Amino acid sequence: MKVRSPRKFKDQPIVRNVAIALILLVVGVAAPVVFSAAARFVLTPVHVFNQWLTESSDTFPSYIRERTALYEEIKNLKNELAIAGRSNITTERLYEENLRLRSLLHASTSPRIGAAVVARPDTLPYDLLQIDQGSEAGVTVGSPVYIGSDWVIGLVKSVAPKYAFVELLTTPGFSSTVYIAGANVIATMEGYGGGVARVRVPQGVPLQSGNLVHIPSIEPGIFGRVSHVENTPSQPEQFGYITPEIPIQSIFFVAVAPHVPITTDGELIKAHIEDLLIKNLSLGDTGTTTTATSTVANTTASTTATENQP
Amino acid sequence: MNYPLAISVYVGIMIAVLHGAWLVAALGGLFFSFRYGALALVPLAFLLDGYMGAFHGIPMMSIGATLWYALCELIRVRFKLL
Repeated sequence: MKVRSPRKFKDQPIVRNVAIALILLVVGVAAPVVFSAAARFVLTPVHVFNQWLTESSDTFPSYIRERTALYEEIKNLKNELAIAGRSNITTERLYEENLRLRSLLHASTSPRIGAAVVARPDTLPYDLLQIDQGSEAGVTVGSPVYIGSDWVIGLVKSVAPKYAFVELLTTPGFSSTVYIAGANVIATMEGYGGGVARVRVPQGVPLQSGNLVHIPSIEPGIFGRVSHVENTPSQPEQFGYITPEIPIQSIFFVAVAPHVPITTDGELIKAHIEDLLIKNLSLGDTGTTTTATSTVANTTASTTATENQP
Repeated sequence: MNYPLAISVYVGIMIAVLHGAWLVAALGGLFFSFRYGALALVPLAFLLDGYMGAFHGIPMMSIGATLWYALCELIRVRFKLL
């Protein structure tokens, strides 16, 4: 029978080393401060090197840090790009669905007239554009003018055979009923001049920068986003300043929609706003404001009608 | 024993642990263990646990390094690698 010698077992270095390690572990747990102080002392050069690498403004550590930061930025940008790509796909899907539903309802799609902007503020008074299409191309007074497919920027003010003038919605004195998504409120937007329009709403309405502004009397009719909110708590009203998505100086081509009807019926405008509410699912938590302001739609609808008449 | 390489790997493992690059540290530890033995990793683990204040709780790195050393030695003896 094979018998293991106790002496041989004791002499094995593995057992000795593990035993020492275990004793040190017990001592370390019993007196952690001693171990920490000893480790800090031994690792002082490493700590100094580490500090130099992470905080020094010398060339080499700065290079390493900037490289790491750039990698992080690239990673974040790639993520954002992927998210934006997915959002774009969603938008395309919804657009196609919308077209399909419109075709099922036999809704007519109004043709647009493409026009180049030949004069803009600097050579013209502010908030006025001159386009190179006129009555010969079918442009009529009062036609809404778009950038892209949805963004309405103004109405045709006067027409000549070869050209036309477009008055922007930001012209001083111009007012229109708008529906502010997000805040879920109907208000009167008034032109402020300089490419800026303004809405005034009572205190307590959750008006925020970035809220989308719809013009419900024109379909499709998105004007822009609230870019700044001026809210003084001591005042009864707060102001939201709205700018179009594209600055006037960057507008080179527009689309005129001569056959888009400008709705003046209050009931139709209400129905359109309800439709917008249904489409925008994020507005579910602001339902009380709808009730409070729905009467405004009726009263301001007539304002829209008078303002939008050619 | 190639001392410059051994010292470089040893210090590299230490810096990797300090920077939280655990995968690099693990790979370095694996290389060091089979090339130069795992015993030297035990004091390093004690040192790093002490530096990070792990002895106020459970010093996982020290326990892990001790067990790793025992495992490596058992494998070495069992398969008569050295």
